[in-house]
Amino acid sequence: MVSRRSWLCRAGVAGATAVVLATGVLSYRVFDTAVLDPDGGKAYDPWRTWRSVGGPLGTVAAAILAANPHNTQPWFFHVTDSAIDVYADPARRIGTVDVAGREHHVGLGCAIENLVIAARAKGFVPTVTLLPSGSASDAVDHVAHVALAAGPAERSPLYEAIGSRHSNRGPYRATPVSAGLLSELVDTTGLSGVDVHWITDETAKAALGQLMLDAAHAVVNDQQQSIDGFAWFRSNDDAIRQHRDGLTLDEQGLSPLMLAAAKLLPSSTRSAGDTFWVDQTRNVHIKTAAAYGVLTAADSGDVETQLTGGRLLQRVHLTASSRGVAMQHMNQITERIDREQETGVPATFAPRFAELLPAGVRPLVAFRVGYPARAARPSPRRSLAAVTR
Amino acid sequence: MNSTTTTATTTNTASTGQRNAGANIAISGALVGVFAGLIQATVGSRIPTWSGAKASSGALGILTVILSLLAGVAARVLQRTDRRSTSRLIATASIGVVALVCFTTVGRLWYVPGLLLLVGGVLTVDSWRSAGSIVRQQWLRILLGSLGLFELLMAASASPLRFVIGACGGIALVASSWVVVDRRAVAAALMAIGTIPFAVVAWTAIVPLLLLVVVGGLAIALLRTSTRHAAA
Repeated sequence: MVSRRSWLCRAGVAGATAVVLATGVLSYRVFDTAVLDPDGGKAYDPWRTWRSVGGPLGTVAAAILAANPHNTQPWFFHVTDSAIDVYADPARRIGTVDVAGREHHVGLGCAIENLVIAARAKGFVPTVTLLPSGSASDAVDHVAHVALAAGPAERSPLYEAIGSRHSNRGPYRATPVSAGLLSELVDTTGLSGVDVHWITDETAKAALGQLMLDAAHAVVNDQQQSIDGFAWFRSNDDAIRQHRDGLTLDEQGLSPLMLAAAKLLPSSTRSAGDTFWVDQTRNVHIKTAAAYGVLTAADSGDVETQLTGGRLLQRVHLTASSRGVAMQHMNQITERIDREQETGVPATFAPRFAELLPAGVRPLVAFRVGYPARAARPSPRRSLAAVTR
Repeated sequence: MNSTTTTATTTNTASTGQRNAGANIAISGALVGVFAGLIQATVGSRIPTWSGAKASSGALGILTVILSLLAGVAARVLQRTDRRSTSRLIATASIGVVALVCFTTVGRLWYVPGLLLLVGGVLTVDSWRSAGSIVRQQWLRILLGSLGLFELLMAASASPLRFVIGACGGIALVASSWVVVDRRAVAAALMAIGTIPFAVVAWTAIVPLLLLVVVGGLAIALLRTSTRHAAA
């Protein structure tokens, strides 16, 4: 017969074994999700090395750090000594999430702006020609030709901000961003047909916030949009290293402990990811936004306007970064507008959004700004070799 | 009576010939493993189908070479007959761990060396019954050593400072499991070195804190047990 002492001893050993096994499983999660080196590895090298790349290729090193939808990095570049040609990569679209391709082209415009800013810093005078092969559907993937002539090197604050600009999805502090600073964020010099409309009034902010929340619900309830969006989520370090693109847990603006806890849990399912996004939209993004910006244009469906809008958007984001203001791109409303148009259902989001904007303009993309409660983290990026041809 | 005893011995223990054959197979596996590691380190990125499409093929190739050499050394230990049962069991376990771990480092290139090491390792076990008995007796030490390996695993994907502290800590924990019976003070110091610095630099990952607590619990049990043994 087993004595009480012996039984307790066996129970203790069994308990210790179970705890050690659990520690082993969690240790594997720490390893697999690189909790202890979130911004390390080659996928984040482009953020560390972009300044050191010389010549025309150096402008591309800056271009690939631009804002873009779901971090799809929908570009590739042809580089010569005297010019850079920028091409869209149609395989890197986000399907029904961006069914009209507006975010796709805005992201390409962001890359062009980074390229132009870096070219000036590296002693070139850039001349941009958008859609050099024309705007026919079979030519539209050649989005820009940037001629590079020799000139003086001019390092602007925007150039200095290229490596520190990240979309900040975390909470923002309650401190408002002054109207003067908001207007200073927008410089439309050389960019015609696009502008930024700021929404700072509390009533309008609440209305736009509710519209964003409704749109987030609509996106997750649209199964195909949910699937197409989740396809770009990278849940572990292997996926990040392999793809070097997409959205990661590190970029979600969580506190260090929350981030670690999220990474230790099993990989997120699509529905869990959808729920998390809606909750974050409700409890963090909308709740702590100091102001919203809406990029507007007379014809938001025109590809050249979208590219130009992207250039302005990148300029705004870089200026905001250089001034300590955080920014997050929030495009669920326009994603629903385009989706409703594509599927032929009655428009529910377009009229509500139009009520919040000046007459005669249409929304291109939207974002929120504020002073950040915590720093944003970088997103993985593909190497120069992978995007130059 | 004698014939019965002989039959039982034959059933439960490996013959010298079987042990030597197992050690030789394991050494062959280690050599092929070194070759597989060299292939991964040099041309692994060009043959992703065979090498597992690893992002860090160079580092993983070198790691495979090192682990294969360790397995080779362990197999050489098993060729000698003057080793204690515990030492032989550790050598066999080392071969098994390397055989399993390297399936994650060089992809299909490990199929042959991994199989050779596993088969060789199994053949070198003197007596499964005595191996089981040793494992039962030393179970808490095995758990402590496992925690050291888990710390090494966490350190493997950590930033440089955390990697150095975690790697040293993991080795210290494994070493502490080795000396805990004979040198309690040294073992206690190694456990502290193995866990506290890593918990300090990596507390945000939560698990290093858990590791500290679990090692603390095991330390109390192991040190009390060894105190009783010393008193006895």
